[in-house]
Amino acid sequence: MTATVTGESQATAPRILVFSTNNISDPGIDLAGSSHMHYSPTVMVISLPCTSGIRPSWILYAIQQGFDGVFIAADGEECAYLPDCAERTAGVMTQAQELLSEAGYEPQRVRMAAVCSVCAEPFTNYMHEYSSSLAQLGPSRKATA
Amino acid sequence: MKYDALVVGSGIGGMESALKLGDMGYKVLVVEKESSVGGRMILLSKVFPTLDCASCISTPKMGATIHHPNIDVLTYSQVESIRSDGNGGYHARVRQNPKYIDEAACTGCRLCEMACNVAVPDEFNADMVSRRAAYIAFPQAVPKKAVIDRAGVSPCSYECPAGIKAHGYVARVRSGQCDEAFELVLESTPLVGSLGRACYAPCQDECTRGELEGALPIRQLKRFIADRRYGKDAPSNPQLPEWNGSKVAVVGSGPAGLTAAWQLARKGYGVKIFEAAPQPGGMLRLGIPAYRLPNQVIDDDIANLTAIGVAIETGTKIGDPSRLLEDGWNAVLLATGTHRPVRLRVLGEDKQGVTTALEFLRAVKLGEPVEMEGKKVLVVGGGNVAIDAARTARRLGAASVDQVSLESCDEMPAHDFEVEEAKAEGITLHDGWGIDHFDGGERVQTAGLKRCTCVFDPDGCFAPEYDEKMRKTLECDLVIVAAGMGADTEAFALQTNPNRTLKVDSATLQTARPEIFAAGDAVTGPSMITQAVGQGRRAAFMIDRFLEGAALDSAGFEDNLPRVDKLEVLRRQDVYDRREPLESHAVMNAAPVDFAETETTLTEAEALEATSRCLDCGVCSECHACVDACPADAVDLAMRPEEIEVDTASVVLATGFKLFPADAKPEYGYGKYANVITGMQMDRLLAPTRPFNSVLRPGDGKVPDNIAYIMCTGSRDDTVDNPLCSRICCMYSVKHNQLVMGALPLADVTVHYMDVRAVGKGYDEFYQQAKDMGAMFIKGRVAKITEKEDGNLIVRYEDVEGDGGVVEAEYDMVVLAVGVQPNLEVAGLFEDGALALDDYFYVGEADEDLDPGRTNLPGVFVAGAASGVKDIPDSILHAGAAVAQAAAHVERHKAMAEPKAKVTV
Amino acid sequence: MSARKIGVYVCQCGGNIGDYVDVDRVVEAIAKEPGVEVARTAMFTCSDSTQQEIITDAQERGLDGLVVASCSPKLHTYTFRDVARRAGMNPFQYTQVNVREQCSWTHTDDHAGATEKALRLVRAGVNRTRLTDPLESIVVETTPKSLVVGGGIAGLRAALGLAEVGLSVFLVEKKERLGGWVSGFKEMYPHGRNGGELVAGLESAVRAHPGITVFTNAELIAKSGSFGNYQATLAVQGEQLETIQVDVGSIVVTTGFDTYQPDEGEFGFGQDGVVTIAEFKQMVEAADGPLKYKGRPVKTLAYVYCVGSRQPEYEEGANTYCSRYCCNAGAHAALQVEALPGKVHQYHFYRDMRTYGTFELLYSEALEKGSAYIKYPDQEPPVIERDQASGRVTVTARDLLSEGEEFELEVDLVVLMTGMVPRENEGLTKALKLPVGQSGFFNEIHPKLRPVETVVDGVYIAGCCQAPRNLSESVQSGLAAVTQSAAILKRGTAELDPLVATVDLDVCEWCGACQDTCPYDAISLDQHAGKEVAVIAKTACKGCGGCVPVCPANAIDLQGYTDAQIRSMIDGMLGVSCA
Repeated sequence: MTATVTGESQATAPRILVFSTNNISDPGIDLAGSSHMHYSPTVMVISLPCTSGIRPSWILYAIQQGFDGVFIAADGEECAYLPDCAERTAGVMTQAQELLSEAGYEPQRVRMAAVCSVCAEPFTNYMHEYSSSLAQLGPSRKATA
Repeated sequence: MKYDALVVGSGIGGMESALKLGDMGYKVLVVEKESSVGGRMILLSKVFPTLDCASCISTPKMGATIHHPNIDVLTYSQVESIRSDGNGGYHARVRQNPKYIDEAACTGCRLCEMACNVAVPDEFNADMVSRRAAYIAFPQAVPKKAVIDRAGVSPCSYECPAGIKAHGYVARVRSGQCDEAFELVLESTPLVGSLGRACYAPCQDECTRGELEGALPIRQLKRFIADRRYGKDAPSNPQLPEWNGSKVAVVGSGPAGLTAAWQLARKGYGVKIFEAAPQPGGMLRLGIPAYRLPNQVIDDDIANLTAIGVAIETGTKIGDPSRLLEDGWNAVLLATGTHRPVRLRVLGEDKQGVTTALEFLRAVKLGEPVEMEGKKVLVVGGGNVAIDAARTARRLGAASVDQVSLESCDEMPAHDFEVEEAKAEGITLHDGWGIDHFDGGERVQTAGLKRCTCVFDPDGCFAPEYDEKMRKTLECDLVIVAAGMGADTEAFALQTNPNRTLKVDSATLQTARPEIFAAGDAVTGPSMITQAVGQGRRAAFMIDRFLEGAALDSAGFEDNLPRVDKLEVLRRQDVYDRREPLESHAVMNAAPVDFAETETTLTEAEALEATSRCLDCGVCSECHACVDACPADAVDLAMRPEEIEVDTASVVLATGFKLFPADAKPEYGYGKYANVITGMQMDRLLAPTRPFNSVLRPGDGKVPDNIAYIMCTGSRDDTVDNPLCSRICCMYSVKHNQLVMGALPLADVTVHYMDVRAVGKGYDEFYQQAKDMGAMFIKGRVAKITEKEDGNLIVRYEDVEGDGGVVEAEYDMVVLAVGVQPNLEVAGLFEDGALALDDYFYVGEADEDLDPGRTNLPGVFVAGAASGVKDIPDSILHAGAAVAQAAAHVERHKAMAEPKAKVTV
Repeated sequence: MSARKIGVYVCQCGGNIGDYVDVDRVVEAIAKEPGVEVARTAMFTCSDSTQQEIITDAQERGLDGLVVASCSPKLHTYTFRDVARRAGMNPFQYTQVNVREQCSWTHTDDHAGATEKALRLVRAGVNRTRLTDPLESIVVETTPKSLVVGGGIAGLRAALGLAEVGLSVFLVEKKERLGGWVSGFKEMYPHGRNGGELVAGLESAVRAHPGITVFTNAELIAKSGSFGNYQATLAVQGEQLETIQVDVGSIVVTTGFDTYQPDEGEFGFGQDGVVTIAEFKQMVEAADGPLKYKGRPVKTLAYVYCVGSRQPEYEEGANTYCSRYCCNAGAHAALQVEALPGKVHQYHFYRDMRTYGTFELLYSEALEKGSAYIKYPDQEPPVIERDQASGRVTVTARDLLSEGEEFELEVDLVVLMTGMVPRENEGLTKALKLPVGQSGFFNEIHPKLRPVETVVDGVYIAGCCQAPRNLSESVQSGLAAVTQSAAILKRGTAELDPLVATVDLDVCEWCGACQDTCPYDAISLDQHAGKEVAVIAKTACKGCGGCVPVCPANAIDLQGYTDAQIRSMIDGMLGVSCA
């Protein structure tokens, strides 16, 4: 097999960690794949039951370890667990931003948007937009060359 | 199979019923007619009044239904009948329709869909765009497995005696896949070029497009793909099949022999053809004039065989075929055709100058000298061979060619177009005349004709009658008799029929000697090339089975689906693009002097234009593109419906509803005006999985900025026999209003309504919200819609709230808020019409007040909109009510089945 | 840690993955990861042959962890959980890694990138699997009994329904008699049946059923216990007040509605000649001749709709909702009046005639029989005045159907179509922690997904305590609550997903934050090693993880998504590249 690199350059494309939800946003991200929409392979997803369960410290950890940004693909109104899911997730995000700021990272390194089970295109667009804004921000990996 | 509950339908009501019964511990069978569970809700954009995403709500339920340990789901299946088992339970017959996909192997990757060459309206997108014949219903389908939509075999393919997938290669050509089209024909026969020219194309006679402006030129398309293939500089490099250790001798190299040899060689047999003539091809070579079938084409066709190792020995006449068996051939196929001319049996037939068409055509085709210049030629016969002889004589410089035929012009066995072409080339036809005698000295000089009054007796047997008084005489230097052909089988020492054809089992083509098979005209008598090809294919199939030691039945051969009903096809598409008939490719010359082909090959543009007319009668074209594309080998076109018998203690009918067909209100112009759409279509336009990238009007793709909703389309309307309110239309329209205003912030939305029926929890608030966002509500029924030239629509309505009178307003798009109708299929499920319906043909509830969901039949319940229109929350509640009672019934049923054991204690 | 023996299987999915991801390279690299006992590629991991290969590997090599890298977990989680089980592994020690939908198919334009990402994802999956514990489904024994609170039509039918599926039932009614509103109606639409008789029939069936115990003059005052096993305390007023404790698996609340009581003067209410529909209905049903009001014949009658319903948002405490039943009730009352001797002219002052579904037939019939309908503007309700001298009542309104013309009608009687309002039920609401919605009715979790369930597991709402409904609809929701109850109680046990939250008792310093945040009431205070700690009822926990970030001590983990696992996945996604 010959592997060809035609996408964004590996070295410079920002690494994005996405937190998705098993029932709602992860299927939306799957749909982007089934529809063969493209975003950078430096985007990687961890799926959870509900984004209200994200520890802000995970976000800081991800950035410290080398991700350039964390994107929370939250449920909209559809969350089957928590009616105030969006509010809670926003709270997680605020806390994460505080943690990031304290540690000397830009708060823009975490972002959140509602992604539902058919939001293939919005998700892809979010990834493109977020990639380019993170690229402007520069890499988070301070220690690495 | 035994179940506690049979749930018919897997919309939101059906899924809810099944899940809850399953949770209670009952064994449940769900039967769904579509390939995915989910019903109509999964197709909606968002749902009122919370505007949550329909997919996000539905998909977890769909997954839960499929994976529930107590629930079995049969998708793409239909309950055919339900009857009482006499013990308080029911017996159901379920038909599982073939998906033509091995579900266990399918990974849902959609490669088949992307490869599929047939596009049909996508019912899951309200017919606004196309889907393929191989498809996954929608992105969130559960199970996410492909289905191949096959309505049956297309008439063209069905009618081909050679078993060629005519629709398949048409579809391949349409997609520009000429090589693949060629390969598809090769699956049946190597004679692609010959059939592309000389086949009489029964496919075209049956082409559904023939009911419109004219049949597709299916034969010429085959010629087109052959000419492209053979015209290539580098011929393809076929893979030589591995020898399987058996050898088959084929006697005769006509269409039957060549086809059988090809099929056997492809299966790995060592095959040799023995041909008596100096060149191979049989009648193709010896009987069909070059202006119809040039030798080069026959050579190219035969090269297909020789390229995979088939040997051909010409100039060898085989006598007793058992000799071949003694020589080590494992089986022999006799395909020697009909090369013995039939005599006229008239006075003077033995004179010099009287010859047969077979001898004449063969001599010309093999390049032997034939003296024709300046001769007066008389051809006797009314068949295709006679015409071939006449036209050949004309080309060789005959001074005149007269043709005598017993039959009148209308009855002649030759095809009409051939008769026409012969006339166009200056041949004089004497139809309705028979030969009485030939006169002259040693050489023939005149022919005496008498009037033929009747050719066939009432049984259709050849028994000509003459009016002996009506006679005429024709001068002639040369007489060519084409009075038929017979088989020459004496040397074989095998049983024959009275007409000397070989006696075989008509299904297996085996002679009395098991190792010897026979096929083609030597068995059937003179017929068409394609018939002989079909015989050759059948013989090869049987010989293979024979040598494999398998039973000689036709099970795996031509296991076709039923033929598609042409009327059904025509009905399926309500609008056709009417086109001009295609131009003829026959090049007619009043005085032909050479053997140049009288027909030219299609240009690429013409081929594409022609294939674009195909109506895809069978939906799936059997082009095998999906078979080639599937990485998991999951496509199985041999699947057939399965009947499943089910015993169940209870039945839950969750068969849902139908939407009002908007064209039943012609004054609103649906189906006529492109920019008048239905509510369901608007829902699809708004859905995140929408067919286009935006809300746009179908007529011209313009983004609408002034949209009207017409409420109560098909509801509260005695003119369409529906006095009921459909309940959901107000709310889905209000939902659309909000979504449209979100998607198109500049668009104006106007609702022409009668009463806004926002009665559920949070519904009125939702309606107020739409008004606050700017949706305009105008009370009054709309009388008529007319279309302007620019596609805009004029809506005439009675202005009850304003100044009164009839007012007109212009919109660039109109959405008809279509109502709901009962799904009548459900009534037919029960034998003897036992299930009671209500006055409006919904499933009746025996006691709606206290036992909602219970029907008149004990143990049969109705859940959701099948009992009358309901929105989603009400459907779910109603399903819950039905399930509570179904569970109670199952408990009683179990208790009834048990007590005997207790008595003995 | 590296004592773990994990099997990793990377799928080619025909070419769907293999054409874009160099799976051989992924396998080669992953095989070197600690704990990976075997790593293989497969053309189709979901095929029988590969499943068998996994099982053989597991048995021969004693695998205790399984990673399958193929398509979306939505497609094959159940397949491979089952494979793990058949192979003798714990199903929860398997991790599905999505390298198709979220890798190969998204990066068809970048083979090297896709390969690298696949490796990172698989490594994250291996890391996660290394930290899995064998989990068993939580099995809860449930009490096959149910408590129905409220003995109206929905409660009665629910009680009978529960008993019919084999559950024992306690029915609690606050009043002395069963039957609620319906017992007082003589003729009910749309089938013309007598409400009293309906209730009587149901009541005798309920009382006769050996599985049902009825308490009247009784109230639910307290509830304890958890999902499937509640203890409810009932206060029963007999000769003396008695408290009774019952064990039940579920509670169905059907406490019904009240009718809207207009303020004095609202639509003329309180004056002679103005009645509510409830009063009018009794009047009509009591009539044994021509319709009379206080002995006076009624010749002209006005119905005024939307009294106490669809009130404008800006008004303090407005009932913004539509009461759903009133339009139908108005049309039905008009037909009942038509059936009485003597001609009555009936005028309906309405906003939208919401005779939905088949009730449209009532409306058409009323129209046909001569009822006149006047559509008044939303913002301009009719004015109802009584001339004290003449005693005549006039209704003044603009009619939108007659070009907005003002209309003054002298009538003998005005019927206010008063809507439904939620019943005051503070005690019950508190005892059951029932959520109340904006309009004051009890709130379901989700109107479509779970229409009779509340956030309190096993506590269901039905009938008009949830929203305005008619008879049949109330009964439907009552029976739907039966179905919900039976779904959790019928089998005697409920199997729950073990992926729930756990508390590290050593770390927990009880602060109560988690308890406050859990809407499912799954967290409670307990003692451990001499200190106060939070404990999570596995059976009540929904596994959402909402409490995880709330804990200031980071003492809570969600099984399957633990802090260590998430961090290890992040590590796996970063780390050294294989390129």
